[in-house]
Amino acid sequence: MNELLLQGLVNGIVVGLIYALIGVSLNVIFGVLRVVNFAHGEFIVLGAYGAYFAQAWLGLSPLLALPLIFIVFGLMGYGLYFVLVKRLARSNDPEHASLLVMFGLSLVLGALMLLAFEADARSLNFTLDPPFLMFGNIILPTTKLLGLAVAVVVTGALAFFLYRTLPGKALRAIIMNRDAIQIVGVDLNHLSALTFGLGLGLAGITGILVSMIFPSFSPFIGQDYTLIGFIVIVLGGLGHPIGAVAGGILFGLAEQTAMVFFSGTVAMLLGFVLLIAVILIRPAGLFGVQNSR
Amino acid sequence: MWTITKRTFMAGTLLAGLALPVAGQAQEKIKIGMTVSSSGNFALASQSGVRGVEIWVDEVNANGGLEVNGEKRLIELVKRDDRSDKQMVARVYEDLIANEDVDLLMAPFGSTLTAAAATVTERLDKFMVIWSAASDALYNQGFKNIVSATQMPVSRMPSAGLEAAAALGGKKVAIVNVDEPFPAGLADGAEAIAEKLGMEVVLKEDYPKGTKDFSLLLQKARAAGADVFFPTSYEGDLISMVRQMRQMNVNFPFSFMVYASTPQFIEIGDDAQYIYSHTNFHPTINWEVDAGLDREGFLAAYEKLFPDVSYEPDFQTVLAYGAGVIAGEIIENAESLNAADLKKAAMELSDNLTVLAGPYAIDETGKQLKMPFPVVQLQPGKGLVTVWPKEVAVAEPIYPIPGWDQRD
Repeated sequence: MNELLLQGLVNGIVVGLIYALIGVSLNVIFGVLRVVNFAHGEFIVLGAYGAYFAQAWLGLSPLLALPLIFIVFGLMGYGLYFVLVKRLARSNDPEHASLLVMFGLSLVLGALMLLAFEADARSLNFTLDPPFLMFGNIILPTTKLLGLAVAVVVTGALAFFLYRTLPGKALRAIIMNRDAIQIVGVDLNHLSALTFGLGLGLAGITGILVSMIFPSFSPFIGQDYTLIGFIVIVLGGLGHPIGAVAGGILFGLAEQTAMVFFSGTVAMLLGFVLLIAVILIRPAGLFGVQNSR
Repeated sequence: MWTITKRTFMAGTLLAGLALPVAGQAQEKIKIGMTVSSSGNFALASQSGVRGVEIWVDEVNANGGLEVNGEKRLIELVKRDDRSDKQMVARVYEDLIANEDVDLLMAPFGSTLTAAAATVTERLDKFMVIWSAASDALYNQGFKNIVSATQMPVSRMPSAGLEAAAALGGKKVAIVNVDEPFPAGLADGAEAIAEKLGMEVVLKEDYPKGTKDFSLLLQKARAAGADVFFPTSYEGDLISMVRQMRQMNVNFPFSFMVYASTPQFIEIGDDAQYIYSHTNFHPTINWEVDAGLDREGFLAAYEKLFPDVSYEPDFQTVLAYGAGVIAGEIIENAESLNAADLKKAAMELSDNLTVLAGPYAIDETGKQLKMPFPVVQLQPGKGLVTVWPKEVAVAEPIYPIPGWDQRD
């Protein structure tokens, strides 16, 4: 049991960091644009399909597809901002309006993927040699370690961008005070579109990573990832890009260690109990600030 | 000259009058009603099935019909639409019986629609042949006029797989399932069958829909000492499980996955090798039939009757065709088309008939007791081959499944 518990803890951290990556891109979009991206999971699945077809048609390894998918999804997000998101600002209640629009978009994307890729479950043909590494009695798949490394690099790069570069600081400034930043002459539209592009670009590469680590995907699983993303950002703090990392690890640890002692169904239930407890004790999440708007 | 008296004329007229309906009856068709889903969730499976029934009807009529009480009678299939709607099924089955005056019925697709149809056929005392309803609950409701001709109930589906595992030496079983009705029903059935076979169930665990990581679950199964791994989930989860089995270096001497015989699972490549599964329609499954067409004849008939249909025949087509053949045998062996007589004949035929879908046996509730889905295994160089039961096996099972480091 001790061995399984240790394995559960290690697994929790690894899976938690992948969950964190799902939440980070969702949080960037919510924090800056106040857009509740209900279609986030579908974009992640679309990223997985992107890697699948990049491999099938271009012979690209999923790792080499990462920058390609990031650029393609980034450009798609930049364009989509002007088509969908910008006009939401005219609404009396942009957050609720965005929730409805993005929920509609998630249905449309799910249906389009079903039409284009059919209902079959797919899996990336990706293996590493050796397939696993042993640390004492703890076994760690190399695919997970690689995914973990990419997740850490991407999160680190995002943190650097947000905290050390001027556009990143401007982005954070939007989170703090949307009106004030326009007074100092920042092009809000361009920066918002850039943010939406960044969010979708991150969703795309998250899609590749999750399809390497959680091997099968189909057009129906987008909502699963959206749910994970929302749990993670509510735990970590709504709108706080790095808070999602803490939220992801916390949720991953709770879920995986509970699985050592209980069934998967009970483990998930305990994950939700944790979420409710955090909301009761710290309504803004672990890293959230009250009235961040 | 006039030899026909008034009396003989009257008698002749009377005889002719009596003879006419008799001659008319000789040509009267046996009317069989059923619904097909033109739309909705069940459309694809329902239409696959009805093509099987149509092949049977065509075959019977081409041979002059079914012999009922010494006379050949053709079959007329009265098809109606149910749009996958259980309320509509009830209305249409009532109409088929009351207004179309059908003699008996073939069930619609699936447990949901079949249950709705059964309430009507039971109330109006008509016999119904089922080809696709697997819910155990349906057969526990006391319906007297139903017979599942080819579809075994969910609780019995794991039988062949576990029997094969037990015969090969499997002793400790780990059963896992996604928390959904059909996989959960399979898992409960697997637990009962394993215990009946004298195997120890060392792990039985469910997980919520949407679970993405199975590595800990796999390790729990290994830590429990399982030598038979029996997940009953859908193919997406099974693909993740088998990939993660390799990633975590987890291997079981016998791994049976319900959907591992699907092309989508096989497409994942080397990781799919050696996994056991089951199916009822495969080039290597050829039951020795004693009624209806064999596999080759069936494929030729499908090709002839449906040259423009873009779908190949699938297991639904086979189940429905087999149910048609069994319905024909029941009709020919019954004293009348009365529901009770047909049920009596169905019981008498139990365990005495093998059709394309397999051997037929039922109990009083109409529940199918046989029609096992033969066990198949994906073997290197051979592809998917049937390994169990012995009547249809074409290859020896590879057991134990070699460890990940022992494969080429």
